[in-house]
Formats: sequence, C-alpha cells, structure tokens
Amino acid sequence: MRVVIDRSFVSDKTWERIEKVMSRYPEKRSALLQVLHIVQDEKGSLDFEAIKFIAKLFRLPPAEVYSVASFYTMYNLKPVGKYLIQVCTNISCLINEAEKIVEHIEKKLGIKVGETTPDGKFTLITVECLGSCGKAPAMMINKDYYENLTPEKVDQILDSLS
Amino acid sequence: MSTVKVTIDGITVEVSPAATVLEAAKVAGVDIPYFCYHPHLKPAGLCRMCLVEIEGMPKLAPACVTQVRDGMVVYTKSDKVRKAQEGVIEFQLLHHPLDCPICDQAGECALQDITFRYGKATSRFIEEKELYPTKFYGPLIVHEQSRCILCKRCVRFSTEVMGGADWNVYWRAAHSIIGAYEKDVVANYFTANLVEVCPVGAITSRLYRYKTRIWKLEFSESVCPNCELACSVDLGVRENRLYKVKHNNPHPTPWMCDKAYFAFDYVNHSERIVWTLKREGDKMVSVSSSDAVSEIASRLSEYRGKIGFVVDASVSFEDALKVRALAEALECRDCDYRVYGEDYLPLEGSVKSLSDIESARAVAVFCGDVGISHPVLALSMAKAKMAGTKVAVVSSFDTYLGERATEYIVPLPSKEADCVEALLDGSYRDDLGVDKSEFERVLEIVKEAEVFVVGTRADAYLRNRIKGFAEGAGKKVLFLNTGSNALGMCRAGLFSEGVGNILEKVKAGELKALFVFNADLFNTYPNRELVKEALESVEFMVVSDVFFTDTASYADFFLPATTFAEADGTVFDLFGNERKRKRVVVPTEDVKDISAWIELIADAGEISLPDVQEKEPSVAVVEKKAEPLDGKGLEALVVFPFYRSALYSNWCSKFSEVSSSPVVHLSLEDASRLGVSKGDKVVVESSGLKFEFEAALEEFLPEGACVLEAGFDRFPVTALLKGSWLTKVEIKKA
Amino acid sequence: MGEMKLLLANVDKPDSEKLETFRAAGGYERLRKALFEMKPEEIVEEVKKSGLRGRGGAGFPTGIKWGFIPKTDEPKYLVCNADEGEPGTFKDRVIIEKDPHLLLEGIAISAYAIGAHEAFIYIRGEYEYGAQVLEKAVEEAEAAGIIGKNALGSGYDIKITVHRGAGAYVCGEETALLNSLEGRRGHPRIRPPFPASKGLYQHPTIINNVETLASVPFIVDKGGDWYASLGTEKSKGTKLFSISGHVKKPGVYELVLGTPFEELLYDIAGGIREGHKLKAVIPGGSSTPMLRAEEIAGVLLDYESLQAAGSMLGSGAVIVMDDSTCIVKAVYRMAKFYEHESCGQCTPCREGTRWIVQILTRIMKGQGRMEDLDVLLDISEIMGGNCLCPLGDAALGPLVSGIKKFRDEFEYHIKHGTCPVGG
Repeated sequence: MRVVIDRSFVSDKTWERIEKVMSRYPEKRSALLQVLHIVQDEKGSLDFEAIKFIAKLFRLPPAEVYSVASFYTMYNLKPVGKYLIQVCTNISCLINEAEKIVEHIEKKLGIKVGETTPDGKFTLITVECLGSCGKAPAMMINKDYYENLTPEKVDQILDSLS
Repeated sequence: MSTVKVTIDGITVEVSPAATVLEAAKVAGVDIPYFCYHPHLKPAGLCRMCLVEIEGMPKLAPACVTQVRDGMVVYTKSDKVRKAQEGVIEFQLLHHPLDCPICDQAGECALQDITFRYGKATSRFIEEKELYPTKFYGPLIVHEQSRCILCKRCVRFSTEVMGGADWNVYWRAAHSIIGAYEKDVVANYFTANLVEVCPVGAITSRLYRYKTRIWKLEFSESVCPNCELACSVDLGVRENRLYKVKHNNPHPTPWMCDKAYFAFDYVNHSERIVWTLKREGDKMVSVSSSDAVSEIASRLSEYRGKIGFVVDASVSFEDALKVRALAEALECRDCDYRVYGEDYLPLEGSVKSLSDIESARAVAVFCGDVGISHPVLALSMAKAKMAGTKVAVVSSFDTYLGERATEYIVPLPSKEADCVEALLDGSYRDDLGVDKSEFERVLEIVKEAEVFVVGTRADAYLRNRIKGFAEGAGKKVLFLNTGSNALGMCRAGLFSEGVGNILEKVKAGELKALFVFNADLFNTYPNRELVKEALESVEFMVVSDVFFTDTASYADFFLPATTFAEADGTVFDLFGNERKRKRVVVPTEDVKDISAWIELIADAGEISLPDVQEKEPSVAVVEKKAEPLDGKGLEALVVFPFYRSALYSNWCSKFSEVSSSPVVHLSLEDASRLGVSKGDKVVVESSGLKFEFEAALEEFLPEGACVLEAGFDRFPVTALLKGSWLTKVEIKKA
Repeated sequence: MGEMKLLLANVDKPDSEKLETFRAAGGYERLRKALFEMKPEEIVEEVKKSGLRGRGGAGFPTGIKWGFIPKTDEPKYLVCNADEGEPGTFKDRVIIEKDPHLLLEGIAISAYAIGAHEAFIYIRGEYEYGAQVLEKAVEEAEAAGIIGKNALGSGYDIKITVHRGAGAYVCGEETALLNSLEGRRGHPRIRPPFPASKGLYQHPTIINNVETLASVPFIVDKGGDWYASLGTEKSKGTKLFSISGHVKKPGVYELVLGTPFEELLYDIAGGIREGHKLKAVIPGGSSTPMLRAEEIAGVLLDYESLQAAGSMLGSGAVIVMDDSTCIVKAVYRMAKFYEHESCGQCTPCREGTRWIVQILTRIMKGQGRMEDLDVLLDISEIMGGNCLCPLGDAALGPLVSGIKKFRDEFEYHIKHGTCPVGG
C-alpha cells in the first residue's frame, strides 16, 4: 500500500534525526516518543498536522499517537511561547519558597500560570519534581535548568532572554 | 486434559489450570462483580471490582487476571472483600452524574446493577462533580464522558480487535478522557461494538436514543440479513415494533458490524407499503389481496413459458424454492438471483469456519472490499494479522482490511484480475502497473498462504482459475458472494444465465412477463439503460417488495413483502451452514412473505406447485475474461459505500446519514492534475451523463483510477455502467 | 560507616564525563575482566554474594533478580531505569551527568551477565542534558570499540541505546517503563508475568536503577565478598543519598549503609538552617512515610532500621523540613503530585488520588470538617494494596503519616481555617 510521506513537513536535519532514531530499535514503534520529541524540537508544539505526520511514519492511527502523546506532560499539544518557563513546585522546592518564584514571574510577565504573554514570548507553567531538589527552588526554561532561584536571579534570567 | 480443584466460597469446582479465578467462579455459580472484564477482550485488571481474597495471599487479587492453582481457596464475600467492593463502587460513583432516569443504559447498566447488589446506600462525597459535555459523534453514537468509568473496553476493542481505529483514551489520571481525535463523526463499520461493550451509558446508540426501556423489550434470536456471515442477532421487540438489535450469542464471532446494529429501522419505516397495489393507468391504486392474486393468476396463464423471475439474494431458502416451484409450474427456466450482475455462482470452498482463517500462517485476499461485503470476516482477518497471521490484500479498492494488512497492493481496476493471475503464475509483469518490490512481497505471502479469500469482484473466470490453483497447491479457499443467501439461492436452483440475460430476453420480447422479488434493479444492476428498456417493454410485471422502489413503479401489481424480522426462514452462511431467521414482528395488513404470495397465486390460478428439491449448480457458467475497457478518461469503479450497502439502506435513517452524499475517490496525482482538493464538488461525465460528486483523496489509489459511490436515493449512478461495475469517466472540477 | 566514595569517586574531576578521564582512573578494566576472565554466571554469583539491592527504591536483591532470567535462546534485554522522578531524588543525575562511562560500564557488564546484547537507558525526559551526555558517551565508547559489536574484542555484542521519557513519574515503575519504551502510554502492566520472563517486546528483561548498575563494576573489580563487607548485616555496600530541604548543605552524598541518620543530617549536610528547628523528615523520597524530629534519634540509614522506624530507605532521598513548614500544605502538595502522576488505569488510584486532593484543597481553603480526616484515612484503606501498581500505595505514604503524626496541625487548619505556622 502506497503511503505518501511529505518529508518537506520537517527540515532535512530533523528528517535525518528521525531516520536515525527509527532505525535504532528492534521494533519501530519504540521510537515513537523520540520522534515526538524531535518533531517538537523543530515545531515548538505538536498540532494535528504534526501528529498526522508522525502517525503516518509509524503506520498508526492519529488517535493512537495522540493518545500516547497526551499521556506525557512534555509534549506541547497546544502552542507555547518562545520560552516555556517550567517552575518546579514540588515538595523540596515548595519548602524553599517556589511559590514566591511563581508569583514573581506572574507579576513580572503579567500572566498567570498556564498562560502565554501576548507577544508570544513566554509561557509559564508549574511542573513536578525536576530532580534539582538540592538546588531548590529550580526551573527549566525550554531545555535549560536554572537553580537556587531568587526573585532577583529570575529577573536577570528573564531579562537576558531575547 | 488435567484439571485443578479450586474452592470458592466453600464450593469446590474442577477447572482447567489455565482458568482465571473469575472463570472458576462462573463454574461454581458464584457471582463476582466486574466492570472492565469482557469475555472476548484480553483481561486488563483495571477496575478492581473483582478483587477477591485468596488464602495465602497478603493482598486481595483481581479475579479476572489471577490464574487458578490446585487447592486454591477463594473468598468473595469476606469483610475485606466487601470493603474493597464498596470502596470501588463509591469511587466509581464519585463523579458519576446519577442521571439514570434519562440514560438509555438503565436496566442493563453494570454500574447500576452492581451498585444495587454490592454498594452502600450512602456516599461521603461532598465535593463538586467534574462533568463533561455530551458529545455527538455523528449519526450513530453519543458519548457521555461523565458517565464513563474508564474500563477501556471500547478502547481495547478498537485496538485489540479492530487493529487500531479512531477511538482511544487521551490524557491521564482522573482527567483521562475517551473519544475520537480531531473527528466529528465516528463510523468505522464496527462502531456498534463500542456501544455494546460499554458497561455503562457512556457510549449509546443514537438510533435507540430515548426510544424505549430495555426491560420493555422482548428479545428473540435470529440472524442478520445483510451478508453471508449470517451473524446471530437478538431482536428486541416491543408492541410489534423492532427497537434494538443485540448480539448475545457470539456466532460466528463475538462482534457485529454497523449494518446489523444500525440498519434495521426500515422495518418500522413509515414509508413502507403494506397494501396491495394495482396499476390503473399512471397510478397505483390499492386493491384487495385476493382480487390481486386472482388477477395475477389469470394473467400468468397467458405467459406460460415466457416469464422471468428475479429474486434478491437476501430472501430465504424456502421462498427461493417456492419461486422455483412457480417457475417450473409455469414452464419457465429464466429465474435468477444475481441482481448485481454477477457472472458467477457460489463455488464450494474448502474453508469451513473462521478458525481456519484465524489459525492460518498467511492469508491472501483477492478482488473485493471484504470490510464492506463481509465486515465481520474482515474484522477476523485484521485480528488474525495482529496475532501473527500474514495478510496480503490484492484489491483495486479496499476501505478496511487493506490498511490493516501486512501488504496491500492496489492495481488499476482493469488490472486487478491480471495481477491476481500473475501472482498465481508467480511472476511479475511490467504491464500490471504495480510496484515490483511490493508485488514480490505480496507474492511471498501468496506462496505461504494457507487460505485464499476471494472477494465479490472476482468474476467466474478468475474464481475457477483460483480454485484450480488452490486445489493444486493444497490451499484452502473461501469464495465470497454478494447477498446474504447466495448459497441458498443456488441450492434452490434459482439461477439461469444471469439477470442480465433475463433483462435482454425481456427487452427482445422473448420473455413477456416478469416477477421481481425484493430487488430494485435500478439500484443494483450495473446497466440502468438495459433495466429501463426491459421494464418499459415488459407486458406484465409483478413486484413484491418492502418499499415502493423505482423498479416497482413499472409494476402492474405490487405485493407488500415481509422483512427479515417478519418471517421465519432458512439461509446458508458462507461456510454452507444452515441458519434460521425468526419471525419476531407480526406482519401488518397485506404484508406477506414470498411463499405465501406464491401459494395464494397458485391457489387462485389452480396452478399445482411441484415439490422442488435442492439442486446442484448444473448450468454451465459462461467464463470469459473481462473485455478491455475503452473510452477516454479515468477508470471508474462503482461501489456501494459501507453505509449504503445494507438492505434498504436508504430507509435506515441514522445508518445512511453517515454517507450523506456520494463521493468520488481520486488518486493524489489525478486530483492534483484536476486541481481538486478534498471536499470539492466535481462533475463526473460519461456518454453525455453528468453526476456531481464530492471529492475524496486516497493516496493508495494509483493514478488513472477513481472510485464512484453508488446506492444513493435519486442518484442513478448505474446509468454510467454497461453491465460491469467498471467504466471510464471524465472528471472536472465543478 | 560514614562517607565513602565509590560511585562518586570521579565526579569532581575536571572533564569527568570524558572517556579518557574515566579510562585514566581504570575505567572499563572491570568490563574487560568480566568479558575475558569471567563467565556470565560467575558475575551473577558475585552480585548475589555482594548483597547489592535495587537502589531505585524497592530494595530487591539484584543478583536474585538476575537469576530469574530464563536460560533460553530468545532475545534478552537490559534496561537501565534512569527515570529518576521521585520527588526529592536527584542522585542518579550526578552519575549520568558527571560519570556516564561508569554507568555504561555497569550496563555492559550486567548485560553480559544476563545474556543481553541490547540495553536501553530509559532517562526521564527532563534530563535532556543528561541524555546528551550519555549519548556522547555511547558514541565515544562505540568508537573506541568498548561497546557495540565485539565489545573490547571479546566477541560479545552490547548495543546501548539512550531513550528519553517525556514527563511521567509512573514510568519509573518498571512495567510502565517497558510500555513507554515500546512507544505506548506509560501504563503499568499486570503481573505476573514479570519482566524477567516477559518484559520488553514480551522477552526476558531486567530493569535496574542507575545506581544499582553503576555499583556492579566495583563488585566485579573487588569481589562480592568485599562489597558485602561494607554496611550492615542485610544492607550492604554504599548508597547515594539526596538530601534537600531545610539543611545548610543539600546535595548528593555517598554513605556506607548503616550510617546514623543524625550524622548525615547534622555533620555531612551541615544541620538545619540557622534559627530553625527540625520538624520532620521524609527519609526515602516523597512516597515514604514522614518521621517526626524525635523519631530519627538513633536511626541508621539502612533498609531495616528505617523500616523499624516506620518508614523506608526508598530511593535515599531525604527531605528535611524545619519548623517553618506547614505539614498540611506539604501533604497537600504531595497529594497533588500523585493525583497528577496517576496513570488513570485503575479505579482506586485514579479516583482515590483525586478525592484526596479535593478534600485537602477544601481543608487548605479553610472549609475542612473534622470528619474529613477519617474519610481521608478510610480512602487510604480502600486504596492501600488494592491498586494495579505501587503508585497508589506511594500516594498514601505522606498522607497517612502526615495525618497520624501531625493530626493536631490538620485539626488546627479545620478549626481555625488558617495555618498555625503561617504556611
């Protein structure tokens, strides 16, 4: 059965990464989580078109891919800002005043948790334990960790992002 | 086989060592409540309702997934078990809307029943319930997430049985939701099972919505009239009206298709003609049935030897015998059931049950769309594929099994038979127009295949070729026929040289009169012009049917006919097994089955009906290879889409709404050349006739092929055809 | 007893993650020894002798687990569980980021020991940097012929693939991890069958924690008896402790099992921050029952002592809470975590965790009722032991210990609608 995959949906570099990871496993489907990551790396989020594209690569119904993707919190199934701020509020961060960090960012950016700034630059969410408990409170912005946070340090970090 | 002894609540039973505690409890007659367990789905152990106490085990164990051991002692009513059961019920009810009075599942709801039997009367929950809006997924089903207990039976059916579908679970934890993804309509040929496996009212049928109560229905077992699978169905009747079809006896499989479940409401349709009609000039007027049969009987004597009989293949064996008796009594040989223009008769295959297919290492499926013609068979093959059977499909158009098969090769319609022959010959040919490596992969499966399944598009020539090959190669074959009782028709001897031949003889004046039973030839026969010419030239015609069809409008007499629910009768399924239809609705007014009408006519005309016997197919089947297609444009295969392929689809409200307008399926190349996108209106033209279709793009279709949908009311696509379901058409964007 | 650096011996060196740094310190020589001088069953035997127990939290003896692998010809897999997600735990991250080759060496030896030619490192999605470090290390080691086809010229193939998760705590549960590794939702599987007989792709599979596997080279090097000479009678060897919360020097420390809790708390981690007193500790990650300050006196950090004290060693994640901590809020936050991370498959966990959060939310808002506490304890009784996987039980650790040990604080919230410590 002919399956037409539109490679131009992703860049050549992303396509190379996809091909590499899909050949790495004894069973193709194992690469699904990795391919979701790779496509999200390029697109920022995974919309219906992206899910359909991935579903085709794996010969799965789009509903199955979406079922898998929506189980995990790291796939952005709705668009997010250029910078996704993920503040840990779990126990070790909580008792090190993570809530103050969240409040500070909310105030600074003028958005609530779960929202994106009108210019599309920042999205703020809270997340579960990031494994930075020894340097609490901590957050991730996109893929980078920021630890031992204080409101002043948060200001510096956010101001440095263009 | 050795057995083990298990004691459940003091009752000792012997069961297979492979049995689960739940199965053993059933043997012991001990009721263990459950939600997620389903006898025909893999056990999941999710709902925790079936927790039991087992001696020697520190924790309670889910009975549905716990295997028995010899000497095992199980308690299902201990305090510990009771507390867990009450707890699980309390948990399930926390966010349940308790809207039983307006829920169609009430009366057959596992949550309701189990709460009554095992629950506490009180709840400690004072928080806000988290509820979800009702979602209508098209004409067939309604989904109420709020009622869902997340047993995932529906999702397990979709993945384990269907091999992946548009129905799944999303997100996680208490916020998990079930449904379709980016789809407003869920109609996947087996949607019925989502409703049936749901133990609560989360997925319900729109056809049954707010109609009646389950305890008001009286159920009787019968068989579905829509295809040769002849699936067992339970017909639920209240006050002589058919409300619901269920599937309690898992024969031939535990599953049913949407034709059985959603395409029966024509039985109760207000447009049904229940009176006997007679032509008076341009009008049909009501007459008494006794006057009608007398008049018919007297006219028949004029046409002795010159009457054609056309019968739809869905009628019962008894009725078919009676038609043949009348034909013989009137010295007529021209009777046939092949109203779709088939040139083949049923060939006896060597496959005797579905398990022959399910247990095969490999299966090859040729020339058809089994998902539409024999849905549950396609489902079985898709399931077998998941269990390791290799499945190769060779078909110009397949809408279900192809994408679920190991290999699916799509030749141009005109090359479909050639491609099969080339596979039998074991050698690739350039002129087949298919990809060589794909052909080679299919060939490997064809070689390995233990079973060939031959679809309804394969003609007599190809069937005999396949039969010969398979016999030589020691493979089993299953030949599929259109209509639910082709085998019965054939046994009843109700065949001559094809319906086309009868129509030609009528047109030529060799036959002067015609009986048509339950067939609308304008809809079924692939040459509308010929039908029209024949019916215009026939001197006398009697039509017996359920509705007043286009064919009936040419009749001199119209005799109201019974549906499958209104008459007892025998049919033969595709394996040759006898299956019994049961009368569950009493026919009203003049409605009678074919046998009754024929007996009345015979009595009135003092015609003595001979005692006809079954007969073996003795007429030489004309075998010839299909003529090459001529004309310009795209090859066009005309097919009935699933939701127009049931009996009397046009009178099945919800069912036919799924396929609301005719679609033309185009290859990506042709669509791009024509500048057509999905959903565009396009004009399909051939020999001066024009039809407007909605375009759908299918990437698996080869360039040069298109598929046109037939079966729509007041949309006579068969006018494009000249005896075969394949033609050539020109397509333009509208 | 006290600190001892086996696993952490290299982590403070410059370029500790590089192959040459690792080799300079004798890295991969243990793999060479294993491949050339030992039979797989000899390694299993040494690991059994060592008394090494799973360092992910469950503490199951590693050698015994390996012994469950059937002696069949079918493919076998080793999976390294690097899905470190238990709140308070950040020990594996140190090895992954700072000494990836130690982990690869441990994996390669262990794969050889169980007859696996293919191993996967399932690393939590958030540790993307760690995943990159590991991938680089795999590339380096493959290029050097240490792993991959014909590892170190031994004729034995060991392929290691780094697989990133994507945000799901439950994937730390080994059967959920397998589903996730197969490209599915991270739903725990029904057991039996156990992964050792039907695991990844329904083939025999061993799943071990990062720290467990990183300990294996030392056992191969110095012998199971040597390793067993460290620690207490039933808790052998060294263990990484992640200490966080209200201590002066939070971080990851490697201690010989059996080290006194107070030594870690007051000497190694520097004690409670100025002006505050210890209120409670969670000794082994968020799912282990909390202990009141006075309960840790004399308790040793090993599997048995912590069990005797009414809690668990777990993943060795010590969360220290001083007197500024509102226990109700802490319990509420952990309850939210388990509600969020429940996979949603089984009724008690899915519905129980949500109900617990709903009740605690009400208490936090000052709308609690005294009977809520008994309802919460009763919910925990219905959930306890009745869920499909251990997550449901894990959710109960902080809740039940919190209510039982700090009931006065819950009652204060209910009576006064406010927090006694201003949390």
